[in-house]
Amino acid sequence: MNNFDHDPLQTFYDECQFARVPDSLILGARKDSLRSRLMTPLAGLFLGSILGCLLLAIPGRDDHPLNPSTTLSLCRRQMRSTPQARPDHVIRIQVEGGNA
Amino acid sequence: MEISLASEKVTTTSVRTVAEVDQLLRDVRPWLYRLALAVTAHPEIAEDAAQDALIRANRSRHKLMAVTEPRAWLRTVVVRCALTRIQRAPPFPDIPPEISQDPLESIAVQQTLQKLSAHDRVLLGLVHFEGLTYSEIAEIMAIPVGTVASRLHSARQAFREEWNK
Repeated sequence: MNNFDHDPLQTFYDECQFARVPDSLILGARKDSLRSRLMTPLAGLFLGSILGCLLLAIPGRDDHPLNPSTTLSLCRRQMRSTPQARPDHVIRIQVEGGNA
Repeated sequence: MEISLASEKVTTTSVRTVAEVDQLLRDVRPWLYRLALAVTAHPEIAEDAAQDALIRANRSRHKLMAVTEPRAWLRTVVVRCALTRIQRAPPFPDIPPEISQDPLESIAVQQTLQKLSAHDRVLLGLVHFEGLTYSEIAEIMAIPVGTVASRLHSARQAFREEWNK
Protein backbone atom coordinates (compact mmCIF):
# COMPACT_ATOMS: atom_id res chain seq x y z
CA MET A 1 0.00 0.00 0.00
CA ASN A 2 3.05 2.25 -0.13
CA ASN A 3 1.99 3.52 -3.54
CA PHE A 4 -0.76 5.63 -2.00
CA ASP A 5 -0.07 9.11 -0.66
CA HIS A 6 -3.20 8.74 1.41
CA ASP A 7 -3.69 5.08 2.19
CA PRO A 8 -7.44 4.46 2.48
CA LEU A 9 -6.90 0.85 3.52
CA GLN A 10 -4.71 1.77 6.48
CA THR A 11 -7.11 4.62 7.33
CA PHE A 12 -9.92 2.08 7.53
CA TYR A 13 -7.93 -0.15 9.90
CA ASP A 14 -6.92 2.85 12.01
CA GLU A 15 -10.58 3.82 12.33
CA CYS A 16 -11.45 0.27 13.35
CA GLN A 17 -9.29 0.83 16.46
CA PHE A 18 -11.83 3.40 17.66
CA ALA A 19 -15.04 1.96 16.22
CA ARG A 20 -18.07 2.23 18.46
CA VAL A 21 -18.85 -1.12 20.04
CA PRO A 22 -22.54 -2.07 19.65
CA ASP A 23 -24.51 -2.06 22.90
CA SER A 24 -25.97 -5.47 22.12
CA LEU A 25 -22.51 -6.99 22.24
CA ILE A 26 -21.90 -5.83 25.80
CA LEU A 27 -24.61 -8.20 26.97
CA GLY A 28 -23.48 -10.91 24.58
CA ALA A 29 -22.27 -13.62 26.89
CA ARG A 30 -25.01 -13.04 29.43
CA LYS A 31 -27.61 -13.11 26.65
CA ASP A 32 -26.28 -16.47 25.55
CA SER A 33 -26.51 -17.99 28.99
CA LEU A 34 -30.02 -16.61 29.43
CA ARG A 35 -30.95 -17.84 26.00
CA SER A 36 -29.67 -21.34 26.67
CA ARG A 37 -31.52 -21.43 29.98
CA LEU A 38 -34.79 -20.15 28.57
CA MET A 39 -34.87 -21.29 24.99
CA THR A 40 -34.84 -25.05 25.50
CA PRO A 41 -37.97 -25.22 27.69
CA LEU A 42 -39.70 -22.46 25.71
CA ALA A 43 -38.95 -24.14 22.41
CA GLY A 44 -40.21 -27.45 23.81
CA LEU A 45 -43.41 -25.81 25.01
CA PHE A 46 -43.93 -24.07 21.67
CA LEU A 47 -43.31 -27.19 19.58
CA GLY A 48 -45.43 -29.27 21.94
CA SER A 49 -48.39 -26.91 21.63
CA ILE A 50 -48.11 -26.84 17.82
CA LEU A 51 -47.96 -30.63 17.71
CA GLY A 52 -50.95 -30.86 20.06
CA CYS A 53 -52.99 -28.48 17.88
CA LEU A 54 -52.10 -30.46 14.78
CA LEU A 55 -53.13 -33.74 16.39
CA LEU A 56 -56.46 -32.23 17.42
CA ALA A 57 -57.03 -30.65 14.03
CA ILE A 58 -56.32 -33.74 11.92
CA PRO A 59 -59.48 -35.87 11.78
CA GLY A 60 -59.12 -39.55 12.48
CA ARG A 61 -60.58 -42.12 10.14
CA ASP A 62 -63.23 -42.98 12.70
CA ASP A 63 -64.66 -39.48 12.37
CA HIS A 64 -65.47 -40.08 8.72
CA PRO A 65 -66.27 -43.79 8.29
CA LEU A 66 -68.05 -43.22 5.01
CA ASN A 67 -65.48 -41.11 3.24
CA PRO A 68 -66.30 -42.20 -0.35
CA SER A 69 -62.95 -41.56 -1.97
CA THR A 70 -61.00 -43.42 0.73
CA THR A 71 -63.41 -46.37 0.67
CA LEU A 72 -63.37 -46.50 -3.10
CA SER A 73 -59.63 -46.56 -3.36
CA LEU A 74 -59.43 -49.29 -0.71
CA CYS A 75 -61.98 -51.26 -2.65
CA ARG A 76 -60.10 -50.87 -5.93
CA ARG A 77 -56.95 -52.09 -4.22
CA GLN A 78 -58.82 -55.11 -2.90
CA MET A 79 -60.23 -55.86 -6.37
CA ARG A 80 -56.74 -55.88 -7.81
CA SER A 81 -55.47 -58.25 -5.13
CA THR A 82 -58.54 -60.54 -5.01
CA PRO A 83 -59.86 -61.63 -8.41
CA GLN A 84 -63.14 -62.91 -6.89
CA ALA A 85 -64.20 -59.35 -5.97
CA ARG A 86 -66.93 -58.04 -8.26
CA PRO A 87 -67.48 -54.53 -9.63
CA ASP A 88 -70.87 -54.25 -7.89
CA HIS A 89 -68.97 -54.08 -4.57
CA VAL A 90 -67.65 -50.76 -5.71
CA ILE A 91 -71.07 -49.51 -6.81
CA ARG A 92 -72.63 -50.47 -3.49
CA ILE A 93 -69.94 -48.69 -1.50
CA GLN A 94 -70.35 -45.59 -3.63
CA VAL A 95 -74.05 -45.52 -2.89
CA GLU A 96 -73.50 -46.07 0.80
CA GLY A 97 -70.94 -43.30 0.88
CA GLY A 98 -73.42 -40.91 -0.69
CA ASN A 99 -71.27 -40.26 -3.74
CA ALA A 100 -73.39 -41.98 -6.39
CA MET B 1 -15.31 -26.48 16.10
CA GLU B 2 -12.56 -27.24 18.57
CA ILE B 3 -10.10 -24.38 18.90
CA SER B 4 -6.57 -25.22 19.85
CA LEU B 5 -3.21 -23.58 19.40
CA ALA B 6 -0.20 -25.74 18.75
CA SER B 7 2.15 -23.50 20.69
CA GLU B 8 -0.29 -22.77 23.48
CA LYS B 9 0.77 -24.35 26.73
CA VAL B 10 -2.40 -25.60 28.34
CA THR B 11 -1.64 -26.58 31.86
CA THR B 12 -3.75 -28.95 33.87
CA THR B 13 -3.98 -26.48 36.75
CA SER B 14 -5.85 -23.22 36.40
CA VAL B 15 -3.83 -20.05 36.03
CA ARG B 16 -6.77 -17.74 36.65
CA THR B 17 -9.96 -17.84 38.64
CA VAL B 18 -13.57 -17.74 37.42
CA ALA B 19 -13.82 -14.10 38.48
CA GLU B 20 -10.68 -13.28 36.50
CA VAL B 21 -12.11 -14.98 33.41
CA ASP B 22 -15.34 -12.99 33.84
CA GLN B 23 -13.34 -9.79 34.04
CA LEU B 24 -11.26 -10.81 31.04
CA LEU B 25 -14.37 -11.46 28.95
CA ARG B 26 -15.75 -8.06 29.91
CA ASP B 27 -12.48 -6.32 29.09
CA VAL B 28 -11.90 -7.93 25.70
CA ARG B 29 -15.32 -7.22 24.19
CA PRO B 30 -14.39 -3.91 22.48
CA TRP B 31 -11.17 -5.43 21.16
CA LEU B 32 -12.97 -8.55 19.93
CA TYR B 33 -15.52 -6.46 18.05
CA ARG B 34 -12.93 -4.13 16.54
CA LEU B 35 -10.77 -7.05 15.44
CA ALA B 36 -13.83 -8.70 13.92
CA LEU B 37 -14.64 -5.43 12.15
CA ALA B 38 -11.11 -5.23 10.77
CA VAL B 39 -11.15 -8.75 9.40
CA THR B 40 -14.74 -8.73 8.09
CA ALA B 41 -14.96 -5.11 6.91
CA HIS B 42 -18.63 -5.16 7.82
CA PRO B 43 -20.09 -3.89 11.13
CA GLU B 44 -23.02 -6.31 11.25
CA ILE B 45 -21.01 -9.39 10.35
CA ALA B 46 -18.37 -8.22 12.84
CA GLU B 47 -20.98 -7.98 15.58
CA ASP B 48 -22.21 -11.49 14.82
CA ALA B 49 -18.65 -12.86 14.75
CA ALA B 50 -17.74 -11.16 18.03
CA GLN B 51 -20.96 -12.46 19.56
CA ASP B 52 -20.16 -15.99 18.36
CA ALA B 53 -16.68 -15.71 19.84
CA LEU B 54 -18.02 -14.51 23.19
CA ILE B 55 -20.52 -17.35 23.29
CA ARG B 56 -17.79 -19.84 22.50
CA ALA B 57 -15.50 -18.31 25.10
CA ASN B 58 -18.28 -18.40 27.63
CA ARG B 59 -18.77 -22.10 27.01
CA SER B 60 -15.03 -22.75 27.25
CA ARG B 61 -14.35 -20.97 30.50
CA HIS B 62 -12.30 -23.90 31.73
CA LYS B 63 -9.91 -23.38 28.81
CA LEU B 64 -9.69 -19.67 29.46
CA MET B 65 -8.83 -20.46 33.07
CA ALA B 66 -5.96 -22.65 31.89
CA VAL B 67 -4.41 -21.04 28.81
CA THR B 68 -1.36 -18.89 29.36
CA GLU B 69 -2.17 -16.56 26.46
CA PRO B 70 -5.93 -15.94 26.62
CA ARG B 71 -5.88 -13.09 24.10
CA ALA B 72 -4.16 -15.30 21.53
CA TRP B 73 -6.77 -18.00 22.14
CA LEU B 74 -9.59 -15.47 21.80
CA ARG B 75 -8.02 -13.99 18.68
CA THR B 76 -8.01 -17.39 17.01
CA VAL B 77 -11.62 -17.95 18.04
CA VAL B 78 -12.88 -14.62 16.74
CA VAL B 79 -10.96 -14.90 13.46
CA ARG B 80 -12.40 -18.35 12.80
CA CYS B 81 -15.88 -17.16 13.74
CA ALA B 82 -15.40 -14.23 11.36
CA LEU B 83 -14.30 -16.54 8.55
CA THR B 84 -17.39 -18.67 9.04
CA ARG B 85 -19.65 -15.61 9.11
CA ILE B 86 -18.08 -14.12 5.97
CA GLN B 87 -18.49 -17.36 4.09
CA ARG B 88 -22.16 -17.58 5.12
CA ALA B 89 -22.99 -13.95 4.32
CA PRO B 90 -24.50 -12.92 0.98
CA PRO B 91 -21.89 -11.58 -1.48
CA PHE B 92 -22.37 -7.82 -1.08
CA PRO B 93 -24.61 -6.96 1.85
CA ASP B 94 -25.47 -3.32 2.60
CA ILE B 95 -22.93 -1.55 4.73
CA PRO B 96 -24.08 0.81 7.46
CA PRO B 97 -21.82 3.92 7.24
CA GLU B 98 -21.16 4.19 10.95
CA ILE B 99 -17.47 3.99 11.61
CA SER B 100 -15.80 6.77 9.70
CA GLN B 101 -15.28 10.50 9.64
CA ASP B 102 -15.24 10.14 5.87
CA PRO B 103 -18.13 7.71 5.36
CA LEU B 104 -17.92 7.65 1.59
CA GLU B 105 -14.30 6.55 1.55
CA SER B 106 -14.90 4.10 4.37
CA ILE B 107 -17.82 2.54 2.51
CA ALA B 108 -15.72 2.33 -0.64
CA VAL B 109 -12.91 0.58 1.26
CA GLN B 110 -15.36 -1.83 2.89
CA GLN B 111 -17.02 -2.60 -0.43
CA THR B 112 -13.64 -3.16 -2.03
CA LEU B 113 -12.56 -5.44 0.81
CA GLN B 114 -15.77 -7.40 0.49
CA LYS B 115 -14.93 -8.23 -3.09
CA LEU B 116 -11.83 -10.07 -1.85
CA SER B 117 -11.95 -13.66 -0.65
CA ALA B 118 -12.69 -14.32 3.01
CA HIS B 119 -9.10 -15.43 3.63
CA ASP B 120 -7.63 -12.34 1.95
CA ARG B 121 -9.82 -10.07 4.04
CA VAL B 122 -8.86 -11.80 7.27
CA LEU B 123 -5.20 -11.75 6.32
CA LEU B 124 -5.18 -8.01 5.63
CA GLY B 125 -7.04 -7.35 8.87
CA LEU B 126 -4.61 -9.39 10.94
CA VAL B 127 -1.62 -7.58 9.41
CA HIS B 128 -2.95 -4.01 9.35
CA PHE B 129 -5.14 -4.03 12.46
CA GLU B 130 -3.40 -6.47 14.76
CA GLY B 131 0.13 -6.07 13.40
CA LEU B 132 0.79 -9.78 13.78
CA THR B 133 3.88 -11.53 12.45
CA TYR B 134 3.64 -14.04 9.63
CA SER B 135 4.18 -16.93 12.01
CA GLU B 136 1.40 -15.74 14.32
CA ILE B 137 -0.95 -15.44 11.35
CA ALA B 138 0.13 -18.85 10.07
CA GLU B 139 -0.83 -20.35 13.42
CA ILE B 140 -4.25 -18.67 13.53
CA MET B 141 -5.14 -19.56 9.95
CA ALA B 142 -3.50 -23.00 10.09
CA ILE B 143 -1.39 -22.41 6.97
CA PRO B 144 2.39 -22.44 6.36
CA VAL B 145 4.34 -19.20 6.95
CA GLY B 146 5.39 -19.07 3.30
CA THR B 147 1.75 -19.20 2.25
CA VAL B 148 0.99 -16.24 4.49
CA ALA B 149 3.59 -14.13 2.66
CA SER B 150 2.39 -15.09 -0.80
CA ARG B 151 -1.29 -14.74 0.07
CA LEU B 152 -0.66 -11.35 1.65
CA HIS B 153 1.05 -10.17 -1.50
CA SER B 154 -1.84 -11.34 -3.67
CA ALA B 155 -4.42 -9.89 -1.23
CA ARG B 156 -2.79 -6.47 -1.43
CA GLN B 157 -2.61 -6.75 -5.19
CA ALA B 158 -6.28 -7.75 -5.36
CA PHE B 159 -7.29 -4.83 -3.16
CA ARG B 160 -5.30 -2.40 -5.30
CA GLU B 161 -6.86 -3.72 -8.52
CA GLU B 162 -10.39 -3.54 -7.13
CA TRP B 163 -9.77 -0.09 -5.64
CA ASN B 164 -8.53 1.31 -8.94
CA LYS B 165 -11.50 0.00 -10.95
